[in-house]
Formats: sequence, structure tokens, C-alpha cells
Amino acid sequence: MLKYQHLLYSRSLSKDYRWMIVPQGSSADDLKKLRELYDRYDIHKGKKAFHEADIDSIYCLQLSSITVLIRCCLSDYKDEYGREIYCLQGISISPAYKRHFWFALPWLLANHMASLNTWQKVNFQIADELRSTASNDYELDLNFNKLPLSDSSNIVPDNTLPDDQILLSFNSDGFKQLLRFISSPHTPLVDFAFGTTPEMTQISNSFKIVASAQSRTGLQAIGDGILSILSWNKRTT
Amino acid sequence: MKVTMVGISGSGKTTFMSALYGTLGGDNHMNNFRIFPAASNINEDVLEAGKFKALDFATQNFKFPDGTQRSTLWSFDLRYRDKFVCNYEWIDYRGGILTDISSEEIQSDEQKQQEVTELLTHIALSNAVIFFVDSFKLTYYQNIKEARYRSGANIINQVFESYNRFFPSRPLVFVILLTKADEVNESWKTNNYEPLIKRGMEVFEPLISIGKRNNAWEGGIVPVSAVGEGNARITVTDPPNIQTPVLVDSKIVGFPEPMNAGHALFYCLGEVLSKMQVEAQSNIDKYEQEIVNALQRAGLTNRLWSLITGQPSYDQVAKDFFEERKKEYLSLRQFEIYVDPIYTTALEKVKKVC
Repeated sequence: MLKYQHLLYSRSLSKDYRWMIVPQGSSADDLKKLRELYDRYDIHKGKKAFHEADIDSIYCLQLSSITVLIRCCLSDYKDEYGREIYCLQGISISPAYKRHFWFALPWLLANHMASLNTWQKVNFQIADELRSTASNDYELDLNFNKLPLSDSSNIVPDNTLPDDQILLSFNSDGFKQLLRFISSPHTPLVDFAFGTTPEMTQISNSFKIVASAQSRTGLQAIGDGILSILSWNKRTT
Repeated sequence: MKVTMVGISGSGKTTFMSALYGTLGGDNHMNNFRIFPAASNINEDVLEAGKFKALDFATQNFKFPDGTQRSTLWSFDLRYRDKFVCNYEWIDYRGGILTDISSEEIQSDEQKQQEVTELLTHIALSNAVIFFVDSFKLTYYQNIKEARYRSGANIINQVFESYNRFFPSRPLVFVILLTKADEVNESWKTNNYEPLIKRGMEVFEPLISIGKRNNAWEGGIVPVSAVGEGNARITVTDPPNIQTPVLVDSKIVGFPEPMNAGHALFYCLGEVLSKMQVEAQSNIDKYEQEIVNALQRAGLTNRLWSLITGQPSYDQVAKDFFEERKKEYLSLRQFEIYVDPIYTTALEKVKKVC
């Protein structure tokens, strides 16, 4: 059983952007880092690359107190001035459940529209009242009996990864590559930024997989992605 | 010269930047005055001009800008027939900071405290402040207290009462912008928006009355619209209860023709330049001492100010600031000839309130 909590940084009808739901046990520094990530997304959220991508921006970050899998995206709501409401939303996992999270990650990613949808759990009509409200506990029951027995928090040694960042294209093809990569039993739990800008990536130097929302040509990006994964496959076989 | 924009989220600060572009940016001009993002080389010039142009309604596919989570600092050059008149910094603070001032969370959120202190420091260092308030909200809510609360005017009144207590003889130039003036009911628009202006003065009565008592304050009020009359269509959803605000969805339906955006800026610049002319010759030392004293009294502000500027002590920072101000005063003399045209143009639309 994977236990997790939700997090939501967004605005409501008449209250400006703030932490609305925070995971219990998260440190102030980690929340600050995530807010910084959102602030940098905010600068570029109007970019064509974000709007035209057929998929949301998704990030996996192992922070000091929690590990998060989050999306930066539009919510389904508008504020009192008729403006679209954006958000950072997703789930948070405590260190105790990191291995379960690694195991569940492909499923969570494949179902990200539902699994990383904190807004779905919030009643918008009363959302103005939410301010750093502690998340409830949630549980996910997958076939965790297949989870390899190991005491190590590093499920797969990091040295099986290529030294360079793996670059993917920010579209559904890139997302399929990400899923394939993450689903491999040889892949350890890695930080990734799928749909990002250079400013956002600077938040952490641990992003191992990056799909940039910059205007690289599609062919360039697909080529880079295939080459990165091929080079990694070579090292693990 | 520094101009700070103050208003709650949704009051129209970012949209006003689009209106400024449509009035004075790019190929647009007002009585031969234009503004350009300041740049020190051609690369920066092209990039900054591109950033400014990105605010143009046409570039944004004729949509109102999304609410912003960030504060933005612009540096502009004002030019008259391509001759440099003055440079000014323009600070667009994220509106949420203002509402954070009165939130419970501020007590425990260090980052928000820093943001608020930074805003207050910038206000204290600004030559002019522009207050943004949504005209629709002012007129929709009949109860004056509710109008103040919903429009954020109550927080502005409160902050500037404190400002007056801390800096009693510090000159303050302000202009109240009644934004989205095109969205109000026709009855508020008669006789050149006189009823709307009267309502604005009523809502800001605490602020204006301080201005009337304090000779160092100069203030004006002006209705503005970023898109102009008839170019936006609004859908209003009345609130089901007191907890919910009125919902207003506004869409651009005609080519934007900003109304009075340039006048608001010119009022600030004109007032500040006029004041500077007068003050250039006197009182700088007295002024400096007053600020130093005020800073000594302002515990947290000073600590954060030192943090922000990297300077070790507040009095040194204040001294440096006033040295800079002295230089600014001296350089003013070269553009004295432009002060009257700027100010006269502004007063065509801006009503003086104190």
C-alpha cells in the first residue's frame, strides 16, 4: 500500500495564489522550493510551447523532507475577474514510502490526469477558505507484493544512469519515452522535469530527465531522446 | 525616478501595462511623447522592446492578460520627439502582496513578510505611487464599506495612513486610477465620468483627507480603460451570498483604444518633475535626516532593506540614496522645458484631489 498526500498551490475565486493544501511533514524549505518552481512556470506559462503541447508539465522531485510528483497546469476554474486559474498540484510521499512510490510511478504517470488532480478533491465554492490546509492521507493499492525486497532507499544504483541529462521532446511522443524509461526495472527513482524552461530547471541540479518547453525542432528533440535512451540501454545490458 | 503600482489582484495593473503600450509604446505617441524600455546596448534594446511589445493586446491575441504571480520591474525612457526627457522605473507588484498584509498567515510566513516589507520599502523610496481600483466593484457594491473591502481600497487607505505617520513631511505624489471605467453602468459615465470620480473620492476619502491636511502630498484621480468604450463585453454573475464576490467575465470585442492611460503616467511624472524643480535648491539635508530617523524606528523594514540591498547599515543606504537623489535633481534642469507640457496634458483628464 502506498500512502501519499496531496498538495496544491493555486488561487481561488477571490484569494490570490498561495499554498492551499500542504502535505504534512513537508519542510518550509521544500515548500519554498516548490513555490519557486511555480513562480518560474508563471513567467512562461503563456508561452506557445506550453499551450500547444498536447500534455501537461510534470515534475518529479526528491526534496529533503518529501518526494513529489506534480503538475503545473491550468485548472478548470476561473477567478472572480474571469481569469484562468493555474496551479501546481500533485502528490507528496514521505521517505518511508519512497520504494512504493518508485514502484507505482509508471502507473501514477500514465494516469496523471486523475492521480495528480488535487483540485478534483476541493470544493471550489469554499476554496477561498483554504490556506496551508494539511492534506489527508490517501492510499494506493497496486501489486506491491511484486516490489523487490530491499532495505536500500536507492532501489537501483544511480551509476546505471548516463552522466548527461536525458533530453526528451515535450509532447506525447516524449511522454511515451519518459514512461518507457521510468517503467524499466533498471531505472532508479530519478528527478525529472517534463515541460520546463531553463529557469525552472535551475531550481534543482538533480533533474536527470528534461523535456524543454523551448522551441527546439521536433526532430531535434526526438533524436536527442532516442540517443539518450540508447546510450543508457547500452550501459544496463 | 521610481513609480510603484499598488492594487489588489485583479485591479488591472498588468492590463494597464498593455494600455500604456497601446498609448505610448511601439509606434504610439501622445502629443509626441513616447516611452521606450531603457537599454544600454542594441541587443538589450531589441530584447526589452520585444518584452514590452509582448504586452500589446494584439500580440496577446486580444485577450486580457492572465493574473500574474510575480512582481515586475520595468525601466523606461520617456522621449519627446525622440529627445530623451527622463528615465523612470516602474514597479508592478503582484496584487496578492497587498491582501497578504491583512491576512493571518503573514504572521507565520517569512517569505510573505519579506515581500510585504519589500513593497513598503519601495513605496517609501518611490517618487510617485499609482493606486489601482476596479471601477466596476466600486459601483456594483452600494455599501461604501463593502465597496472599499471588495476593491482593496481599505488596505490602501490603511497602508498610507501608516505611511503618513512614519513619513509626515515626505512628499508623496499619487494618482488613483479608476480602472475598467468602460465596464460601469452608463449612469456613472455622465458628464465626463463625474459620478464615477465622485464615487472614487468617497471610497478613498481617508486617503484624500490626509492629502488635504498634508501639504507635502499631491494627488489626482482619473477614470481609465485599457480597451476603451465599447471594446469589451462583460458577463456579470451576481453573488449567491455575502461570502462570494460578484463574478465578472470580460472579453475584448473591439480593437483596443486605451482611455486616459497616458494621462495617469503624465500626471505622476509632471507632479514629480514640478516638485523636483522646487526642491532642487533646498532642504535635502533635512529630508535626509528625517528618513534616517524614520528608518531607525522601522525595525523589520531596516533589517530586510539591508538584506535586499546588501548594504550593512540603513543610514549608509539612506545617505547613498540621497546622494543619488541630489544628482537626479541637478540633472533635472536639462529637461525643465518639458515639465509644463507633460503636466498640462495630464490635467486635461486627471482631477486633482489634494
